[in-house]
Amino acid sequence: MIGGRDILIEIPAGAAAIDFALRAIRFYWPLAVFEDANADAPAVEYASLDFSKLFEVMAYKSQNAWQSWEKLGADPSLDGTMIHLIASGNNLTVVVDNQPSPEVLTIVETIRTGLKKAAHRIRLKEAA
Amino acid sequence: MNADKPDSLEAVIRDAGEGWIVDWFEPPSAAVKYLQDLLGRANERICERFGSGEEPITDAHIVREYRRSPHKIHAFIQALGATRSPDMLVMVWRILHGVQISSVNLNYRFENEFHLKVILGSREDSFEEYESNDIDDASLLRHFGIMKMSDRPIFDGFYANYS
Repeated sequence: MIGGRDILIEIPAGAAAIDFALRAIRFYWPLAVFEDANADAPAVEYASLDFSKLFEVMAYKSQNAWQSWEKLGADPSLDGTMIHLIASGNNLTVVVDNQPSPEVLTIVETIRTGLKKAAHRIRLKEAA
Repeated sequence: MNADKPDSLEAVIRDAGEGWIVDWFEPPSAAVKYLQDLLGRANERICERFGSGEEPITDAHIVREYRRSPHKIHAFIQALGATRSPDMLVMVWRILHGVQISSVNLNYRFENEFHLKVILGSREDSFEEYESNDIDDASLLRHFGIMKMSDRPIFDGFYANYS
């Protein structure tokens, strides 16, 4: 998996953009949990997320997947169980496995097309 | 967003760039009372529907949530400026907290009828219904996130729009 494949989505990449992406992931992975990459804290459900400083987040397919990642790290047995999102400026980078599964590719496409179409209407990034 | 954290409902509204919601009242000082009354009625609905199972809609909660999730409260503030319906505000609040939009029905006949019905939830035994006959509430639909899941239609999330 990581360093996996980076997929760049050019949109104003703020909290609303990350929110949109995480909610999309939940449709495919209803038991998903999310980990702030810059906080020393366990993965949590969507409703418990603090978006105020959330610029880099890992979305795990389930609590079990998160625990396995904690234990094994980037082990091939965990392919297709985590998506890594990084918001920076006008880019949302989605990091997936080197050879992503069809499901992960579908998730990324849902996020990419949804965000690109939303960008003219929704404030994906709050004013500084 | 300003570096100084807003500490009141009005300060949050202005910090989010939605000061017009206060300023279009005559006098503007009447706005906060009106908005607090509306929030109070929405909060009563929250208690009726969910007891203590949902976070309340109060000034203090809005101020605190604005620090955690400013984009969500910005969206809620825009809804506060768009609707007079406590039920519609509860609907928005629930979506912001992650509840799924299950169905949307809109009936409209020129000069005759407007009826909006939104059902939230992912399981039939816990569906929540929200209805409005006020055409102003049609503007809330513009805030729904739109996506396609392998060509299947999805409304999800509630977001601040560009003014």
